Amino acid sequence: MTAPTSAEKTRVAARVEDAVKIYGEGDASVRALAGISVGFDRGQFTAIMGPSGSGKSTLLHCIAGLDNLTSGSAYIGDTELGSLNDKALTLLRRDKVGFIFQAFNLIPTLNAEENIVLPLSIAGDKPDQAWYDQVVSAVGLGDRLKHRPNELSGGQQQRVAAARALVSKPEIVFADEPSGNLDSQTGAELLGFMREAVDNLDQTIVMVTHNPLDAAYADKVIFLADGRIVDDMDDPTANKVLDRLKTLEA
Amino acid sequence: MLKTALKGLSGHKLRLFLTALAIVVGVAFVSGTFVLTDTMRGAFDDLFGTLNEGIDVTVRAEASFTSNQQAGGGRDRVPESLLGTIEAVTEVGVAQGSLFGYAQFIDKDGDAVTTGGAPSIGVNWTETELNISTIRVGRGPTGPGEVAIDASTAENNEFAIGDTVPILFTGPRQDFAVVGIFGFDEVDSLLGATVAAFETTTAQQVLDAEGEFDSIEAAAASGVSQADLIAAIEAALPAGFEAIGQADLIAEQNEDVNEGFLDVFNIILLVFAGVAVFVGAFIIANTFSIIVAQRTRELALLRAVGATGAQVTWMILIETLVVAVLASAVGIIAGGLVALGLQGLLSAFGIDLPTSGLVFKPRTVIVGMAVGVIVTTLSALFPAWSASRVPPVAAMRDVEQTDTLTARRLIGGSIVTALGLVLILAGLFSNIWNELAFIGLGALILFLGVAVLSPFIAERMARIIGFPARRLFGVTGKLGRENAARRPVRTAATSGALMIGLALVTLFLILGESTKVSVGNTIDKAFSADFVVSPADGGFQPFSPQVTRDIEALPEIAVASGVRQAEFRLDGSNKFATGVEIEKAIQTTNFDFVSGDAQSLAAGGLAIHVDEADDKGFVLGQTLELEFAKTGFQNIEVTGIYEAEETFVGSYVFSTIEFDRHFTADLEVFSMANVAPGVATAEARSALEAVEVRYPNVQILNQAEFRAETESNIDQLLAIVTAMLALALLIALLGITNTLALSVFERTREIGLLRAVGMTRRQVRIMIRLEALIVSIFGAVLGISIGVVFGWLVVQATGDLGITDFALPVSTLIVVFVFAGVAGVLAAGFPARKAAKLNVLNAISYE
Ligand SMILES: Nc1ncnc2c1ncn2[C@@H]1O[C@H](COP(=O)(O)OP(=O)(O)O)[C@@H](O)[C@H]1O
Ligand SMILES: [Mg+2]
Repeated sequence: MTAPTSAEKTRVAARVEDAVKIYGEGDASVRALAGISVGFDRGQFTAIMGPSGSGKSTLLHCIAGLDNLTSGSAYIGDTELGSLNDKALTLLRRDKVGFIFQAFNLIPTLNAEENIVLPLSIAGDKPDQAWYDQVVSAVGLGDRLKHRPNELSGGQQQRVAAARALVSKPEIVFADEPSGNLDSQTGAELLGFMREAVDNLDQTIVMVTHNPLDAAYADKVIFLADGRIVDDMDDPTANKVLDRLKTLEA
Repeated sequence: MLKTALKGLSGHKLRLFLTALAIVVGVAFVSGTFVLTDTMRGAFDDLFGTLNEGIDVTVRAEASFTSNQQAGGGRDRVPESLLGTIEAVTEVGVAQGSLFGYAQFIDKDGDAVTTGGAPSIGVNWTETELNISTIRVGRGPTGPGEVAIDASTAENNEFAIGDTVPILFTGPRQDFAVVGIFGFDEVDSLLGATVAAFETTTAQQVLDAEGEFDSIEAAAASGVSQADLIAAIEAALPAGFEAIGQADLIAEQNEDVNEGFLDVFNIILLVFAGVAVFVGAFIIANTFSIIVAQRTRELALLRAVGATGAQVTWMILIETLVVAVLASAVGIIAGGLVALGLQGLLSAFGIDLPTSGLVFKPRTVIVGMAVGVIVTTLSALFPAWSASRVPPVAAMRDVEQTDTLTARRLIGGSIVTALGLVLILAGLFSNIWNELAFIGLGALILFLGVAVLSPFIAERMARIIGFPARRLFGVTGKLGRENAARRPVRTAATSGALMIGLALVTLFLILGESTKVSVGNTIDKAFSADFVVSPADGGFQPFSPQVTRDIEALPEIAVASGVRQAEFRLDGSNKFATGVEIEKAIQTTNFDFVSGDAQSLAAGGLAIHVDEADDKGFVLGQTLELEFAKTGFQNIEVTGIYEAEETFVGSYVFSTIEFDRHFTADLEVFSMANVAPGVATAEARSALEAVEVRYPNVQILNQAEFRAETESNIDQLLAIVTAMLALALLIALLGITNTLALSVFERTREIGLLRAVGMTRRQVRIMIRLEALIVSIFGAVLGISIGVVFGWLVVQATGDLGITDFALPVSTLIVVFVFAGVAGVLAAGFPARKAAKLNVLNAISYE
């Protein structure tokens, strides 16, 4: 991959240039990202795949402003993250980024609805009602909106998390193995919802996954190995992805 | 298992440190109490050693009993001629007569030299080797008009050789030339007392003891044993006198100090220490149960790999023991600091305690260690037991911990609470042998009961208290509120410590306020006098009757009447006697004879308060056998039964003639004066002010001023008590810090998530602080409510002790309430910062 041109920059919701991330020092140091440049287009659903330990989560954290790069630069829209302090990063995450984690996505003391609007409430804002209705109806929680997380199934919890990620109309949503804890049926529902968000609500999603079936929902798959991008694939299908993974792991 | 236990310990440093801190503080207060009283005891020992250096035998008048309240225990004096008798005994090497009385220095500003409670002493100067004082500068006094002063008083008041110093006695004030400054070996001062030494004849004059000594001290001639000396002197002594060996005398003096003051002081401090330990136990128990809960997975894993429930319990107990022993050791040492702190605190309130180097006795170490280990182990017993019930499958689960409120808790808690209440009520309202023990134990049990029950209301209360938080801080406030409400047992336990501290503070504030109002009302009811003369600056140093005489001599004053106090014994128990000139006293005091009259009392006998007389079945004309230190057993007739405010007049009133016969007390504790008819009060006041200038050791106040002065004395006492209880509050706040830190640790993931989705550090801090605020307000509401109920009960029960009116110090209680909230927020400082600094990535990463 080459660095995106300036014309591409406006199209990309987030990108990294020459991203290097080294954990630890000296002999014990781990090169989690070994110089990656990649951009994520607006309105696209991108999946990141690769063997365990290949740097997928690290890449996600560094673009999302949860961690900083050892060298290189990361952008959300036109904002370079390296120059931001903790407060600015926090506000950026709040206003411009959505997250779906593998588990523990929800605050147990808040009900589903409150969890969904959490980033907005933290900002002291009210949700855009039309948008909120759209998102919530897409989640399909129905009458469970007033329930607390411990009264929701795993799939419902993840869909609430997804709704939360979308509610502030972020520039980009990051998901790290969102279906990792779900059975295939509920996982498929969640992925369906995410796909819908991209198609109907014009969202941008970057998702790390292990599962070729999940990757098939994406517009594009990026393959990582040893902290480098080794390949990418447009219009993936589960079989194509599986084949590619086999050669990667071989 | 021991190894696993130790590993468990080192793996949780922060939690361990926080637990240990609670133990350290509790034990430090216990140890500090002992260190302080032992140190004071040591100082008294040194003093008595110094005072008795070189003396083998003391000769004094016999007394059938002695009183701690009076200098010399109320003994009669010995005639000067006895010195010759003793010097004539061949076994006596050297002898001296000693005199001891009241002499109050006036400083250069014309004010009485204050001593912080220590006495103002006048003595005679002898040039024998038995004189304990050694001249530092100048010489000893050799004639009238000369005085030598102790080095400390001289330095504090800048008295130098050649200065003229006015001194007040029981007789008129006189001027003296300073001729010498002395010390006691290397020591400058006798426990803060001021000492004026006069040539013997002068001393006898000014101390109103012409031809008399208080005692005669003798040292044996060389080669004579102490036993032989005592035998020889006793053989030479006329009846009514005794010779006592110096070791016995020192023991007697020590016992007086120990029983009279130090033991009481020690008990009071130990009560505070007990409160601190009790509050500390709450925190220790709470911390251990949180830690056990947090280690559920780890413990379950141990169980899964084959550890038995008993082994897990033992592991926790061993951990507890190790922490307890280490923390107690630190606490015992920290007790030294507490002792210094207490000393500083008391001296800030004008109470200077005698000290030398800090004294650590083995007993302090043993008791401190025992308290720390036992309390900690007991506190950890339940958590340790519940640890054994962690099922092995819990290792596989990752469920949110919740508190379940069982019916057993409700029933058990109600029973315990009721038991506590019953004990308190029994202690307060029935005539049980040990009322205070009942009330104390009852309070302890009640607090436990309330702590067991309070989780039932904790959740709802937290929501109610936290309601404004949601309004003011949006979702941050809501989260703080929900966090306070989500674990009712934990919230209740955390606020429990604060509840106890605040309940006690509230109780004392109410007692103080009620006492103030009651005493004020009593003053209004008791006095008909226009002016009250009392020791200056609210002190307790009695003053010369000459003051009253001088006041009465003023043309602006119609009558002035002094009041003296001393102790006697009746049916084996000590009673206070009040000595007044009854014809005058009935004019200045609301004093009414129920039977008998002033005239017959003036002629002799004693008058008894009507309540006391009814209680004991004493009637007019009855003859009672009283025991006096000075005159032994005497039959005295009841010549009056009266009605008056008991708290001021006392229950046994003697007129001057009878009083002087049986008591050595010749100083007045207060005195009252009425303005002459036709004289304006302002005019009388300016005349009285002239008297005040001559006697700077007294203050002359009108009734309202006297009332205000008395109230401010009570306030001061209250301030000391509150300052002591502040320690319990400090421990309680430590508990809030502790629990919150553990909760933050427990909610790492949650806080990380909040941070990831955009909560700023500031908002995280606010969230934690709001939680602390809600928990402390919950504790404050409970504590202040319980305190108010306690206070009301105690006031109802103690009407006969002079607290008759229940008064609620509303504004002070509001201050306490606000303080609790602010302190809670401050206590959250550390956990809040910790939460805000949380590493977001670590918190959210899923392994
Ligand atoms: N906090 C960290 N400290 C040290 N090494 C880390 C840390 N986080 C990740 N790593 C290492 O960096 C590499 C990439 O990790 P990660 O991005 O989590 O991989 P993936 O998500 O693809 O499984 C791995 O070798 C991992 O061990
Ligand atoms: Mg990963």
